[in-house]
Amino acid sequence: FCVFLTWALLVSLCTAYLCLPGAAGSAVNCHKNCICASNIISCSKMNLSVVPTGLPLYTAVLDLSYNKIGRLQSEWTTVKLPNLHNLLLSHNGLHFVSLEAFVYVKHLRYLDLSSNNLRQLEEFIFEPLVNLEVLLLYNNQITQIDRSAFIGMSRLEKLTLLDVSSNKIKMLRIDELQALPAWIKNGLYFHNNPLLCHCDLYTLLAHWSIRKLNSAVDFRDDFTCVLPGPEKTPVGVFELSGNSMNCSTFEEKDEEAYLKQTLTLGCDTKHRDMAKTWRLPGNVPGVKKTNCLVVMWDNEQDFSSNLICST
Amino acid sequence: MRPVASELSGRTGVGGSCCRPAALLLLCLGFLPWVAGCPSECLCASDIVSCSGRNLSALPFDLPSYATRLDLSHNTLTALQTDWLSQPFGRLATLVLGKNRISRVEANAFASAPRLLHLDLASNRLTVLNSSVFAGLKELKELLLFGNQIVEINPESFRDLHSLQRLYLSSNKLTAFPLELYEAPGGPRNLSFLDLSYNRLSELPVQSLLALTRRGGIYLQGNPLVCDCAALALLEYWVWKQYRPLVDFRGEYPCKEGVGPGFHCQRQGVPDVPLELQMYQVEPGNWLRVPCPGLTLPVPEGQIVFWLTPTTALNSSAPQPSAHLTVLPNGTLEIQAALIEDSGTYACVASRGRHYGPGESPEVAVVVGNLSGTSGGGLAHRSSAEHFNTAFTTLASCVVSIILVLLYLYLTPCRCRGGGGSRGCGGRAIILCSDPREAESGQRRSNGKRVAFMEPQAEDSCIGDPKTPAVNLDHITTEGILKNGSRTVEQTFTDENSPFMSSSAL
Repeated sequence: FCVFLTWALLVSLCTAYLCLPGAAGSAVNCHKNCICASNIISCSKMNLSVVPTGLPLYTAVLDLSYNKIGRLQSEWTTVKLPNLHNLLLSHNGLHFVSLEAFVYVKHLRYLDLSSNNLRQLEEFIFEPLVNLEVLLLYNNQITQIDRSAFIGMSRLEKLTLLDVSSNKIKMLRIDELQALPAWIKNGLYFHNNPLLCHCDLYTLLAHWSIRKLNSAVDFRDDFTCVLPGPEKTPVGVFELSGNSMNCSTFEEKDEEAYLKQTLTLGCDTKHRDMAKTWRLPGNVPGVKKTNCLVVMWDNEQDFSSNLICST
Repeated sequence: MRPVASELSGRTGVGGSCCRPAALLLLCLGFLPWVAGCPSECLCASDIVSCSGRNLSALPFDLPSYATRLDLSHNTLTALQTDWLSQPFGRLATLVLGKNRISRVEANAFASAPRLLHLDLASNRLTVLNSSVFAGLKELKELLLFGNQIVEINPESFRDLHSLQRLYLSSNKLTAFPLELYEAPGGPRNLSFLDLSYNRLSELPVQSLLALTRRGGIYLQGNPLVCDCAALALLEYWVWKQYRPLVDFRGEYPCKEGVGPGFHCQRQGVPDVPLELQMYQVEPGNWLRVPCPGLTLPVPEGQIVFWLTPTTALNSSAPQPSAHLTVLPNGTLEIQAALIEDSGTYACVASRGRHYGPGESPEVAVVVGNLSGTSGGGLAHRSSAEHFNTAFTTLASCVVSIILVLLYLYLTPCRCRGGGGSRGCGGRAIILCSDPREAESGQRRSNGKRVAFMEPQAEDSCIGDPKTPAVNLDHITTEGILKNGSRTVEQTFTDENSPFMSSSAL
């Protein structure tokens, strides 16, 4: 009888252990672990350690913020969620995002991964998210941005806001940043990072500031960089043209060309989908080709004039 | 005055004691709503200011005015006074106040953020929506009020919300359907999503709801609806119509199929009268009587029959004999002096207590026009359309099979001479070249050129450089079967040992 008792005790302990919450993923329960308002499922601050299973197909907004989801596995959803367009995962201590985490949520428009513990992001994680408009990665521990990330960003054609501010990024590829179209630069925020001071960085931000790109204008004082050297004192990037590193003050240069030379002038704007036209001074005729305006000058005196690009 | 106070506290050592009044004056004069830095309680990222989860009981001072999104969720705010947004937020589009303890919102509380598009007040402690609480929010598109304890909605509270499209009122304590949302002047013009799930609605204004069906989704799951004949009729129609709220939440509506508590509808005996889509035709100026499809007469006592017209909804309880459109007590719709504009689809909504089979419909098509103009009727039109469809698919499949047969018949192995012999080649290659520019490089081809499968046999059966089309295949000139302007498909050349790889890129 004693043996039987101990055996029963053991069995019950085992089953109790298996039934412990957190051992297996629990399903969405609109009365216990989530608040369901038709297509908004709000499970924030519910002490969850995994994403609840059984997410309904009509889910449009999924709020999982302020939980303890440390890893976003690829099977956090096993079916396509065609209506999901907002996914909120901030304040979770998230440190791992699987490469295939977002293959089932292609219609996502707003992804908030801010205030987590992400250190790096694999370059192709966001590739399936062709409809992504806003990507928030601020306040993580990201130390570097993969070089393909910005190229990938221009492939995500609807992305208007990428925020990697308040991370631990030391180096950015300035040349790749400068090559991005203006509408992306307008929505690329990387202030409050321990960037290494470099005159190129100053030139980039000064240029953006003159062009009134939001990212440079709104956070003028928060763009700090760390001077090379043992002290690691942060200085404002816009002060680099003065005493600190004596970077040459940035001014937009005039374009110069010689006779018979072809000069190509670009026209870029932070507003998207704008029709652009060039206004030529005087009666200089121009021939319109695809995407280009070809102007021929014969005399030298016509050269010093302003060409205005307007949208 | 609060912002000025923070200015003073932030600055240390402004000057000596004698200069302090002057400094104070300077600061007072110098204070303008300029771009402030980020308050210590918040995190400023891009145009998002996030002050969530900081146990705040009041709004932090000196929030940056460029903020587009302000997140104050997961705090302990309890009330929003009229001036709680102490500075103007001209750019604020999103304001998140969910998961606080807000029980009171005073009038004009959001007037400092007139460009607000999204307001989240979910999971708070609101009990009543006063008038003027949302005053000034003329551009607001989405309003989240779920998870409160709202018992009463003042009809004036939505007066300024012209642009409101989505309203979430789930999990509150509403007992009456807020029809004033749709009827109040100045209210939302285009409300396409109304979530009233998990409230305490028992009675529904069925006729108004029928008319609102077209406007968008009204979500009523999880309410203790009384299953009277009118409610049953409405649900039956919505299920048939595949109305989104019923498609997604069918299981959470009461009154399922005649079972359930509080079932108050005398069901008729169910005769198997098939409900086909019917069509009625009438000349302008005449009158028309349309009986309710599938409704056995006499109509039981107390049951109301509803008709949904292209413009409105009517019911049978109060017939008006002189009106243009009226519903007779036996459920028949009567159109007097028909006008051309009366044409359209009419639905008879009644609790028939039956499943609808495929092809069955409680709807009726009414055409008001000269009889000479149309032929046959809607039914004839429909069947002819069906015939056309089947004929078209048969024709298409015949053509496809002929093409496949031709493909198979006219394939011959092709042999090419010389050219790139150093490259080993094997496998098979399909080349499709219908780009006319390829023809310019020497070959005379007007249409697409179709090239054979090639067996991996002889050494000289290889094709040269993939960039130039094969020179030696003049003898193959079938008509281009696929005559689109596609470019040459890239070819893959595989080793003999590696598996077959076919390339197709169209």
